[in-house]
Amino acid sequence: MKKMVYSCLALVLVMAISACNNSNNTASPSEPASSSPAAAAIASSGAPTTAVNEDGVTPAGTYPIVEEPLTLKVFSVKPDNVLDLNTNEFTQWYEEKTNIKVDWDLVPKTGSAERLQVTLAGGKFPDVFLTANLTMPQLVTYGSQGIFLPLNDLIDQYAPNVKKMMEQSPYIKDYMTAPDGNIYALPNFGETLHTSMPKKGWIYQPWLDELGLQMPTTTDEFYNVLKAFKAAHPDAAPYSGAAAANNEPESYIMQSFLFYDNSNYLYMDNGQLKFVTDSPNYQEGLRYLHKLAQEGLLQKEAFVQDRKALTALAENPGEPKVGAVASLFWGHFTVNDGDSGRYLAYQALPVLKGPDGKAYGNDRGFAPNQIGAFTITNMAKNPAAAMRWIDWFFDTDNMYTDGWSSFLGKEGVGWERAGAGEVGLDGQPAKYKVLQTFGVDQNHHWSQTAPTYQSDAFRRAQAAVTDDDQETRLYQVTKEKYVPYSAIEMKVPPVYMSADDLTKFGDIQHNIVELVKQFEVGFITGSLDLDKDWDKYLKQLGSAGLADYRVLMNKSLENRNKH
Amino acid sequence: MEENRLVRETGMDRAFTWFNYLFIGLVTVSVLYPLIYVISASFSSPEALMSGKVWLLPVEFGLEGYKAVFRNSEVWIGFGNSLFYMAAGTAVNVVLTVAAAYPLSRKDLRGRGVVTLLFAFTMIFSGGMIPTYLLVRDLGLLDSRLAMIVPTAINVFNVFVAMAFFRQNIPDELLDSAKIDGSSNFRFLISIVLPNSSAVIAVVALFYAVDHWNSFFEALLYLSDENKYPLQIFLREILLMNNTDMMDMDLVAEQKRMYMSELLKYSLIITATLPLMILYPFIQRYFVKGVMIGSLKG
Amino acid sequence: MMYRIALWNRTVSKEVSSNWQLYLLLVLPVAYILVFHYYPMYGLQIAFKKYNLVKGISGSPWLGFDHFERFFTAYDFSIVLKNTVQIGFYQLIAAFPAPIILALSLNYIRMRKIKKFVQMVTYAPYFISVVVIVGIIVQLLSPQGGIIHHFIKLFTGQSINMMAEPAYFKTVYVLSGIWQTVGWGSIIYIAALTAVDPSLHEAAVMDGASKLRRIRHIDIPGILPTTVILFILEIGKFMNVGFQKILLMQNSLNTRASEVIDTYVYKVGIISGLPDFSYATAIGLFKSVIGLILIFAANQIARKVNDTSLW
Repeated sequence: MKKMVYSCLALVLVMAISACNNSNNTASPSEPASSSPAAAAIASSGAPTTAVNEDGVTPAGTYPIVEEPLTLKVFSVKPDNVLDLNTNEFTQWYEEKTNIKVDWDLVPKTGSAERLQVTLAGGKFPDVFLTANLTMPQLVTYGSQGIFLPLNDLIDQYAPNVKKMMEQSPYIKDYMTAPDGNIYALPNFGETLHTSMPKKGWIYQPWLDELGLQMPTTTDEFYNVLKAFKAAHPDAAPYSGAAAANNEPESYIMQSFLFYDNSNYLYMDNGQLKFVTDSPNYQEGLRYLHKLAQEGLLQKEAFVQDRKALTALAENPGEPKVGAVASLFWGHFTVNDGDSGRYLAYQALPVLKGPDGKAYGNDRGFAPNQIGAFTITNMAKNPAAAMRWIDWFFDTDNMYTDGWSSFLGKEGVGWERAGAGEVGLDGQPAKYKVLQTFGVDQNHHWSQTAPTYQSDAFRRAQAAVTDDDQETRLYQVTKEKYVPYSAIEMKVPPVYMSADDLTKFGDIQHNIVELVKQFEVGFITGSLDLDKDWDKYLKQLGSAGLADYRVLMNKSLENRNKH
Repeated sequence: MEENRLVRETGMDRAFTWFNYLFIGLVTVSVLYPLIYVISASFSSPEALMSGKVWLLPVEFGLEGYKAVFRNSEVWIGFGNSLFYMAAGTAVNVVLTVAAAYPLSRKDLRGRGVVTLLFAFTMIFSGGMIPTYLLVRDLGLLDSRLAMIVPTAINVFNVFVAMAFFRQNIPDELLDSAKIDGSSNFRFLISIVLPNSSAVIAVVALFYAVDHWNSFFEALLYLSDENKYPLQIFLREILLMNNTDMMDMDLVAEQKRMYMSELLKYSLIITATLPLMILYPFIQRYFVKGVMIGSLKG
Repeated sequence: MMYRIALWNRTVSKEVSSNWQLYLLLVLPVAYILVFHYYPMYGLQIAFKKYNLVKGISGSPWLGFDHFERFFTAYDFSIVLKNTVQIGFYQLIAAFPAPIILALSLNYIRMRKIKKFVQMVTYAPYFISVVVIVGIIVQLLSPQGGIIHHFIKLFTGQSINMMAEPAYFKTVYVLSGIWQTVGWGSIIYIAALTAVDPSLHEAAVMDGASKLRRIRHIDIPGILPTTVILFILEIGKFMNVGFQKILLMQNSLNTRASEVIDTYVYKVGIISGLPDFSYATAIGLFKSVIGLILIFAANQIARKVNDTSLW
């Protein structure tokens, strides 16, 4: 009986309070939703400075985000090196700032894809999917099924930092926009120069010196250098690579013949979409590689071995067993900071100029490393709050005003402002210095938990740590030997298939890519003849669906241009 | 008598014995190699591993791999959980498996063909990950320890192994004489069949125990509370944690981690497998016993 | 006629009632199978549907046989199918007898200590993760110092990189599989052999039988029922060639011989960036149907040839 009375009282109390809140909101004149939130805030007078508008949030850029504490249910992949997100220092700081508490559903990285699927299939989702590495096809599919909300308007109204990002780096819009014109997710995005041109070549400088040779700049010079290497060091492979990302031997060389992207084998030529076989130089490039292979200058193992075997070659005590290597950076084929010093002895080769005197540097531009790093689901009770919650992460300059960075930590502990004489990666004055090593277990910041936008300017402003700082070396090498030859205008813009075309395209792309790989390897190693079997190659490409491949790609390109 | 035996043993049998030992020797050596390799690799340095220097013995001896594994107290939680799931799970498994296998081994059981087919069918057709997940969810088992035991209560393959054993090793005459003595089916099962089937029960228990110890997928799908995670989840996390290929973050640090992950592959195997290796000798003795009590001859 | 039915009914009920305890034992296991294995099978219908997460399994629209058509008319279909069948067959022929041979051989090792040691050693590789096994294989076959490569060069005079030639892929795959699983696989047979009545062996020795004869006439018949049943089950799993290991052993030089159904489906799903459950389920269903036909056939043959069969 007593219980009944008390619960009735409680009920009445709650109703009274909520009635009050409602009247507070309705006291403000009913502005149309698209008017500026600032106006709405001013209009709801009498309320404290953090007044919420009819979407339940304070104006963009002001904190806390909500009046009443709000809980946001977030699904995320367990971040490396962060001990416990619930007790993490950054978590506490950010919660206080925003008045939003996070209820984490953390899934171990292994098998996170399966967990994601069953969560989606289970019909009960969290408010937000964070850093779950959703691909555009997934976003397109689930977005069209209504699971993920379109973010365009929310960004416009509540995410000034995201808007700034889209203005500063406009090409990111291409990556973010689905074929139906909607943006279903925010990306995780850092502009790192050296990864924009990943197909690099490296050469063992001591051998160049001992043979009195110059760093080659053309394919002919490279050929001669390799021959000289072979003569002087018959036991070693003059040029090699591995079957691992960016270690494929043909990608580095093909940059001298055409714009070669081994994920889709397409390129743009004056606004026209072309396939590798359309280029007059493609066959020449394969012929060159075939010549290298035939004369023992390119070892067959390059197509098969893993990085471990490649490293074994380069790190061979005494004399290395490989002269030139294709790799993103030296750490993938030598021991970085190793006692042998090989990581320093291999110097970067420039993009070689081909027989026509031109170079077509493979430049992928600054591509986000996760396209679907933040989505709001249709189960979110307050989407505006969610958008405002993520917006803070997208401006790295916040760390100077707030004293906190989500991936570096607290000022003075994880990072600090750079001193007067310190220089950044590009030789210009640095702005900040990182104090804690990346990859160490800690509970002080969020590491990679939340997506961020690290502009090129921000990355460059990081103070170099030591004299032979790796980041600086990577930056310089790319700037001097690769950027000048960039053929980024020939890169195919990011293009996405609509939900209907996805399946068909997936099959065709798989077939085409596999076929090209097969034939190329055959031509290079000699099991196929470049002249006699070329027609067979073209014919098989045809039956694998090359025509449809072009049609679908063109369709998506036109669609994109419309938006 | 003695001479007869000796005479027979020379010739073919001696040759056979020689070949046998040689064969076993070769098999052992060839199979020993990966074992030694893994142990050595786990005690080497990441750099030596990545340079392909490790062939047989540790190079640049170090304990980095093990330190990384045991640094987290989580690993111990995982150990404890895995032990629990293994013990409780195997007990349930064995009881249910015998309860299924024995009746199906009896030729006089009407309808056994249908039931056997019922079981066999599930080895070939399965509804898949999502429907099973939804079922577990609807049964309220999500995020409970029972989710690691109930959905995998029976492995039909093991049922058939046990069934084959029972058929082969419990002769009909034994059953007939027991029936004449007025023994019930239960009584027969408990006092005659089980004591004589220690070999197959040991085998089946071993298979289930190992499956539980290695289980990972069920935990991944059904558990969210870290305190309930089995060992494999933590181990794989440690491995994957060092295996990111995020291009734009600190390349140098990323590469250090990839080196570490190469080393971790080996120390993780040793860590995960050692308990099982220790378990095996205890089970092994049951393979040596299991001799028929001479109840027929009496 | 009615009399016959009545009699039949009476016998049936008599049999059932006399064995009621056995039926009781079966209740829980059958319940488990029905709930956790049969009930989820409703999910198989998405093999014929276009799975829509929001609409769920029942609400997703019907597609009929589209997925199957897509698979059968796929560009690589014949190669993929051929590889799967070849590898499956090869494994059955080579990998199935290996544990049996090992068990028979171990049975005649007199010294207990050696026997125990060998057992423990041979069963260990089973626990080494497939990632590491493939790494070891690659290292051993590597032209840069791999031991096996060295031996091959000694015997044939040629430097062959077995990982780079399509012709050798299946052999390397199957042999390394035996290497990894022979010890573990022999456990069942060893256990079966220990259950063989030792008095049979004693009698045989007294009659002067050689070990080989004893194997032929005592051991093999002793483990035959187990072997037959396991063989029938293996045939059912024929198309499920180990996916993860093949994926790890594949490279651009040997794909012609190494692409199997599961790796194909996996790659198509990955490249298109969207896991396609309906498609994967359809393919799985296709493999299961083949497995079912094979198991039925094998069981029938077993029935005709001897008195052991699965059902």
